Amino acid sequence: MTQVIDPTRDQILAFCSEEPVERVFLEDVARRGQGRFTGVEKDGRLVALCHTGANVVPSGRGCGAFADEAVRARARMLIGEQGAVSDLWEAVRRNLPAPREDRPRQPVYTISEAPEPGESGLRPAQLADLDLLVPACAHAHEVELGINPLARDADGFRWRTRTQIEEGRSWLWAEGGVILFKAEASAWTPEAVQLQQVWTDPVARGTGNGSRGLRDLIRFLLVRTPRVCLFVRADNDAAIKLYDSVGMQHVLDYRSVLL
Amino acid sequence: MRELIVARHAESRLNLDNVLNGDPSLRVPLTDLGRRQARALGTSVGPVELVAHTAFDRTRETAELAWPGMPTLMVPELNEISFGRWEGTRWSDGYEAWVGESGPEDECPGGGESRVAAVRRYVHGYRTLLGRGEERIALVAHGAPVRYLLLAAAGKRPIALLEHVLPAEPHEVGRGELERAIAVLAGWTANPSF
Repeated sequence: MTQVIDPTRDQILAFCSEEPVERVFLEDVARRGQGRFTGVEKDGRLVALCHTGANVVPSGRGCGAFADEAVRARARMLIGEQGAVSDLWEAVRRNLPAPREDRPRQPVYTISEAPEPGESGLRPAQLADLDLLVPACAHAHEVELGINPLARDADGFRWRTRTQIEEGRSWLWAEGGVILFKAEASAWTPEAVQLQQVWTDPVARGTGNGSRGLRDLIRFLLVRTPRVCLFVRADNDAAIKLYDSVGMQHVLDYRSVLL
Repeated sequence: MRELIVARHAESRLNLDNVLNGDPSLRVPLTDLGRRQARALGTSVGPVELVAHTAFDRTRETAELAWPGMPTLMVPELNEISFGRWEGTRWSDGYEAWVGESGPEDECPGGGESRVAAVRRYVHGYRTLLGRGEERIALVAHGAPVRYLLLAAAGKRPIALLEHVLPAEPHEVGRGELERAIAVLAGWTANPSF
C-alpha cells in the first residue's frame, strides 16, 4: 500500500543513503534540520521524498504524489533527478505558471579517486577574500541561473557568500587580485560533497587554471569524504570538458524547471 | 563576556501573517515597522563590541540595522526551531496542537526537531557566546531561544508553550545569569520533562 507521509529523520537518512550522490542535498538539509520533508511510503518503506524550501527537490519513484506540496510551496525552482522532477512537473504543470526555463539532462558528475595534483595555490577562503569573491560568486550565479543576485538582493547575497566562508565551504586560488579558480560546497554529508559555482575569471581561462584548481580541491575533499560531485548545464561544453579531463564520471542527470 | 543583551528579531514579513519559518534558506525581509524597531533597538541599548545573530535573514537584518558597522558573528546553533511538516503554516494550523500533545523528545514530523534537540543546540550556542572575549555582546535571535534563556536565567526549566517575546525588545543577561541558564538548560536536556 502506498501513502503520503511525514517521514522521520531516520527514514529520510535511510532513503538518502541509497543514492548518496543524487540525494546529497536532501541529506545535507535533513541533517541541518532545514525545511519540510514529505515522503511516499510503500509497504512500510520510503520510496520517494520531497524537500520544500526555497526550491522543491523530489527524489525516488512516484513523485507526482508531491503535487499539492509543490503548488503550495510557490517555489522558484523544481530541481533534482531527471525522472523524479519529470514525474512531479507533469503532475503540477497545469497549476503552476509557465517555466522561465526548463533544463533537462543536466549531467551529474562524481569522482572518488584522487586525480593528479594540480600544484595550484588553492586554499580555504577567508573573510579578507570576501570583496574579491562576491562579484565572482554573483557572476557564477548569473551564468547558472540567469539572475544577477546583486541586483535582486546585494546585502543578502554578500552575507550568504560570507556564510559559506565562515562555514569552511569556500575555496579559491587567487594571484594578483585575479581568481584563477574558486568553488563552494553546496551540500556536504558523510558520503559526498557537492560543489557549485566552479569558476575562473574570464581573463585567466584557457590556460589550465580550472583543471589545476579543481584537481587540488578534489584531492583536498577526498581526504574528508568518499565522493565529490557536481552538476552542470548541459550546454556548458567547456565545463563538461573540464570535468571529463580531471576524471569525473557522468553518473546520472538532473532536471531543473525554473519558475 | 560580561554582559549579553538578547532580543528577538524585529517584525518580518512572515510575522504579519503569523507564518512559521524554521528554514533559513527562505529569504524573509523585515517590514518597514521592523526596520524602525531594529534601529530603535540599537539606540536604546547603545554601543556593544560584538553583534551575534543566527542564520536567518531577519536576525541579521535586525542586527545590522541596530548596530551598523559593528563586528558580527553568526551563531547558527541559536537558529529557530525546525517546524517540519508545519513549516510555512500558521501556529494554529496544527503546530500548536502538536506541541501540546507531544513530549519534549518527540521529533517534529516531516524532518523537524524535538524541543530537546533544539535546546541542546541553544546550550552550545550560548556557550559559544559565554566564551567570547568581548565584554558587551548583543544577540538577535528568535522567540524560543530568547524565552528559554530568560526562563532558565531565572532558574526555570523549559516549558512546552512559551510566552510570546516582543520583537526587538532588549533583555540584559549578566555573565552569572548566563552561566546559570546554561546549567539549567543543559540539565534539562539530560532529563527532559514538561
